[in-house]
Amino acid sequence: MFQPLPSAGPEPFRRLRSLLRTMSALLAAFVLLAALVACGRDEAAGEAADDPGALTIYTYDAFPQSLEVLITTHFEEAYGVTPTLERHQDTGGLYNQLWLERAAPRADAAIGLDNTYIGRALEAGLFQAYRPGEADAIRDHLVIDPEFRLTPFDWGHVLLNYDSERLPDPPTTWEELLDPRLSESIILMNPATSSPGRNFLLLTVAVHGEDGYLDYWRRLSPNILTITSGWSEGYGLYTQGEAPIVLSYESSPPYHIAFEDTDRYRNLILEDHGYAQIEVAGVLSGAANVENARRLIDFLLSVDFQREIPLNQFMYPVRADVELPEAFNLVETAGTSIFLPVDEVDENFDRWLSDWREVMQ
Amino acid sequence: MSRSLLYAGVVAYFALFFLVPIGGVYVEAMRGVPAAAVLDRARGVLTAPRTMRVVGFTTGQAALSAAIAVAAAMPLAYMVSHYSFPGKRLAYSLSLVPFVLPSIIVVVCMISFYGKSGLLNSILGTDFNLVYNFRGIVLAHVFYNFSLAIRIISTAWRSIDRRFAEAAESLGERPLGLFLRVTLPLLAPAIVSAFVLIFIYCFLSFGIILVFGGVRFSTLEVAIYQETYVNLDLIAAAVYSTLQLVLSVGFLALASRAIVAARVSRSGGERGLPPLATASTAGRIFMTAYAVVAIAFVLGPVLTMFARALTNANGAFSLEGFRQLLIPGAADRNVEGILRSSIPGVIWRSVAIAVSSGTLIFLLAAALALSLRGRSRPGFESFLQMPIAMSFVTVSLGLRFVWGATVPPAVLVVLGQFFIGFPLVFRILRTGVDELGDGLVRSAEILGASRWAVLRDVEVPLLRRTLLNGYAYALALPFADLTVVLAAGRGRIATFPVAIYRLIGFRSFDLALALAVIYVLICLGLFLVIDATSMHAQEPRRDSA
Amino acid sequence: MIRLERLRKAYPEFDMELDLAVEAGELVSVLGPSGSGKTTTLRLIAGFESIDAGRIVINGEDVTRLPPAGRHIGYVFQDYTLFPHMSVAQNVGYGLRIRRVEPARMRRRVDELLELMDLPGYGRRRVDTLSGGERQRVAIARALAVDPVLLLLDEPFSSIDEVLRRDLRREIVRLQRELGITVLFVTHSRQEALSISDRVAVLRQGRLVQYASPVELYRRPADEFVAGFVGEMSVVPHEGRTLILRPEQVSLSPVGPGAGEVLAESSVEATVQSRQFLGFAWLYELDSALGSLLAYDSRRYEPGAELIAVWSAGSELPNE
Repeated sequence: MFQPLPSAGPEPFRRLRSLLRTMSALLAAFVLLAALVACGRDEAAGEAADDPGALTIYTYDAFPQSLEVLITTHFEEAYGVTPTLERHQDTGGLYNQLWLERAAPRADAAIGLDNTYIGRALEAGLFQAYRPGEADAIRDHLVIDPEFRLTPFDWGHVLLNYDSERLPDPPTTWEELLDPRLSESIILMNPATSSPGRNFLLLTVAVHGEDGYLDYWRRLSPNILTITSGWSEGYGLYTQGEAPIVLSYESSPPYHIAFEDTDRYRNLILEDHGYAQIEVAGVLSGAANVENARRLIDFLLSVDFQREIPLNQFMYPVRADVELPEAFNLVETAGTSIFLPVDEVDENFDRWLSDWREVMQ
Repeated sequence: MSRSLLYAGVVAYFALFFLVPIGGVYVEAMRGVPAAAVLDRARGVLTAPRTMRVVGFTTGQAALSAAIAVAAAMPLAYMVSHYSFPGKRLAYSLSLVPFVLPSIIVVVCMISFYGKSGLLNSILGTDFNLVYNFRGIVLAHVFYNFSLAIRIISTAWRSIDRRFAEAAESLGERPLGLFLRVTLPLLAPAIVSAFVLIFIYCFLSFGIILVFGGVRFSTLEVAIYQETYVNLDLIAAAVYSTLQLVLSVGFLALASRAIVAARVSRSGGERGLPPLATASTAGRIFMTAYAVVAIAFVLGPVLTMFARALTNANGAFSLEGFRQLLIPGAADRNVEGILRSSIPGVIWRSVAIAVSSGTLIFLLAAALALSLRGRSRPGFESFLQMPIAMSFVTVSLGLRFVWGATVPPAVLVVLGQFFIGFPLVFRILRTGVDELGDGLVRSAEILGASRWAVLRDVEVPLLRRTLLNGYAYALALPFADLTVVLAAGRGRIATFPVAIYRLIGFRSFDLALALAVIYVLICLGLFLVIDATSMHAQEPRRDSA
Repeated sequence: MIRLERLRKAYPEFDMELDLAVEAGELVSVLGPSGSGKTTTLRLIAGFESIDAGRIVINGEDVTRLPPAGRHIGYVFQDYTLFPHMSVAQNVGYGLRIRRVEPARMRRRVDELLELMDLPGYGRRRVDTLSGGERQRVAIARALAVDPVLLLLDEPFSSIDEVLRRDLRREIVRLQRELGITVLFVTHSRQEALSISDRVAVLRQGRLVQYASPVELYRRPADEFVAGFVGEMSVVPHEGRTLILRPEQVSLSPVGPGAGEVLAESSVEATVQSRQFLGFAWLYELDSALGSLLAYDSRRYEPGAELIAVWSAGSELPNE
């Protein structure tokens, strides 16, 4: 009680300072801990393998690990180098990273851009031309860049799916899709934010013409339950049983056959139409390891790699000479593959989109 | 001196890992484009009718959602702050669960319960379209933020001195007048606080709008995403970002002023609570009924999701999802390949990252709240609140662009996640610390206590509930983060939300639901531990002399 | 006027059992050590807590089951409890507002009360700009505004400095006389209780141990506890009984020639142990064959001095 009072001035400050010093030390310790913890475990191998001299590949997060292993093994066995695969969120994230680094790219090759970004990537000069040895094996209609700055490695059809348990009697024509019995029965994706959504809008433009697509959408809209921003959200609603029809891929039903042993989910093919979504890979302009990057493009087109695409990526191989697994042969497919030229799309898409938006508001 | 050192350190941190990354992206985006063209494009975006529509919708839905969440939370906040009842701790912890759910899971929950084929419709035998419209957005936002409102308001309510009510009653006040004339004004800062936070969260809403917004409803955050990742129009994105930042920081600053003006010292402190059984019969029935409905509202969706995870395609009970997920080799899919990590790895890494980020957030927020006690630095505080208003899509992109080559992914994730939790945690702690007041700390200092001793003997024990509440949020927000991990982690780090996202990307909804259940249970365990500690905090009895 | 009849209330620490009657216009203090149930008594009367058994009757009306709002009493809290979100005038006028008194009349009444409490022109001030004494007076004005039949004051001066406390004490007495209001006043200060009250109720462990005028309390305490609580004292055995001696009842003289004559029945030899200077006299603590003694004396003796202690009167405690 009677001990002398501390001086009111500098004393509290000195204490605060020591408090802060300790806190900063704690902070540093925690950041360090985080680093150790997160890198230290099973990803240590990947971290250690970073070798900038070998090959750096950018892709999106969802690129299957099995295909990554295939690439890594191939490069280690054939060339004794271990490539580094960096994943950048989704396709948009991948494109942004490539574009932001365009002056001094850290990657040598990129896997996974699709229709939506191809035109812009080419215009921005992000990729250099390389015509792979087996370029001729690619199905003709998939070759979207004759100069081979971007080379297709897989593709699929964007079209509607339906749940046969809830809709035993699906429409087969674009007109039947407008039937009032299908009120609030379709889940679509926003063309402004999602690749399938964009491709489906293009499909309607291609099928109904620039003059007719808006009218078609106007009549379709009572049957639309919701338009989600991304495919995952929409497809989630569909598998939750919210609506019997969803915009998805032709390869979605084989997934349910292969892994869930059910064929209740089926392709809803309207007048044989499907819109081609093409995934491409390319060698970056200014890549440090051009040779390995080219080897990558070659490998992506090899039969060894193409064969693995269906069950890992749930897309089709671009080579015509690769057989599809059993599950893929059990489903109906669209016979007419529609694909609007990239430059035509780039030129008009903004207008189509904003007109469409006005109609759907 | 050292106070300014702390401030300078925080400013430097913000500058390096927040301002520079965002600036980096936009500067890079505009490089080589003539200034006139940039300005022209910016003006074009600002004056477009769509921009006005987006701003109007963003503000309107946020205000409505926040108002409903706060109003709906009031009776429960009263109940929680005035009575003890069996299961209170569990319910209190459970109520935080929606807050940490990745938005894709929130959607699954909402759909399972409120959807066209959801539980509610099947119980009622109806086919109501409850969610695919404006209602759905508001419903989901209320579901998301309900617990936040309850926690903020009940904490304040608890600390209102019971004697204010007694003084009013002795002067002839009746319950309704007491509520309107005394309680409500004293609660005003907390209500405004809760409203503002929820408003901001809804203002920045992204995931919910992605699903329920359709084409008609788009928030600024969605517009930023769209311009950044799809249209690749970074100038438009910058305009939207700036607009979003200005609007939300402006709103926060306005509200802070209102909160500071209304803040009053309430010397109530903590006290033991009587059991609910001591309330009047009518009150007990109303509160119980209300609580049951509210719990159904919040937990119904979560429990329905649990039920879905435990049934197979034919609706029969099944642990198949869990079996495939947890037993190596049991799945027909290569689960580890899809996740690019083992399940224990996901759990371990999620917890490690959340603890690292959460502790970083908590320590800095606590240091700042303590050193800002009793001071008003509106400019600095608005600056600190800035991250809440910034699009994390942009922040993550910037972090990876600026620091990706030099900082290891895990560290970058922690550094980036800091900004997700900091603004909220800082607000919680700042309010709590300020209510403690200066007197006790000064008296301890006079007695010769060192700064550490004051912290240990006075601040920590008295602020225990506030501190633990803050820490809970500091852990929860990074735990639920998907954006920063995905973007800044360069695909190397699989936390729970990432793993769920990857499973859904592979159409494996069954496994994703099972994983979401495991995730929810772990979150719940974490919150239970934290809430249990904070509820055991010494509750001194009132002197009955 | 107010009657507490067989009031019972169980607490973890003690059980309260109380009978108490206060006449109209009386100022009664409730005195006791902390934890004796003083504040509780007030809270039960105000209706903040319910009682287990018994009746509370105010002006002939049984208010036991009425809520606080229906009892028409004024309550002043230990720490004032002014509403922080209202101005001084709003605080004072609060009870009138509840009663829907028209604004002009309310303003007049508030001004009148502020005048009465010596706070003219304070109406627009924020409560957090007031000093402790000012807050206390605002709190009293607020309680008085609704013309309560009974004013309950819970240790109203405990956090006010000594000088101000004396002023406020006088003020309370003046108000009570002027307004003729009944006041129940909780305090743990015997000086406060003795100086202003008409009667004092001494509580111990939830029981009323004595209820009497200050003089009677001091002169004829009911037991040793009361005696010790209301003033300094020594306890001396006397003819098989216990005698309470106040220090002023004991006089001291030096041992010297002729001391033997003084050494009568009511005296004893004593040695000074310690002393305290009080201004008007010294308070001595002495050691004697009868035990320890306290005495006032204006003369100065050194510790160790041998003296004769003589007592004139003294109060005997009733046999137990």
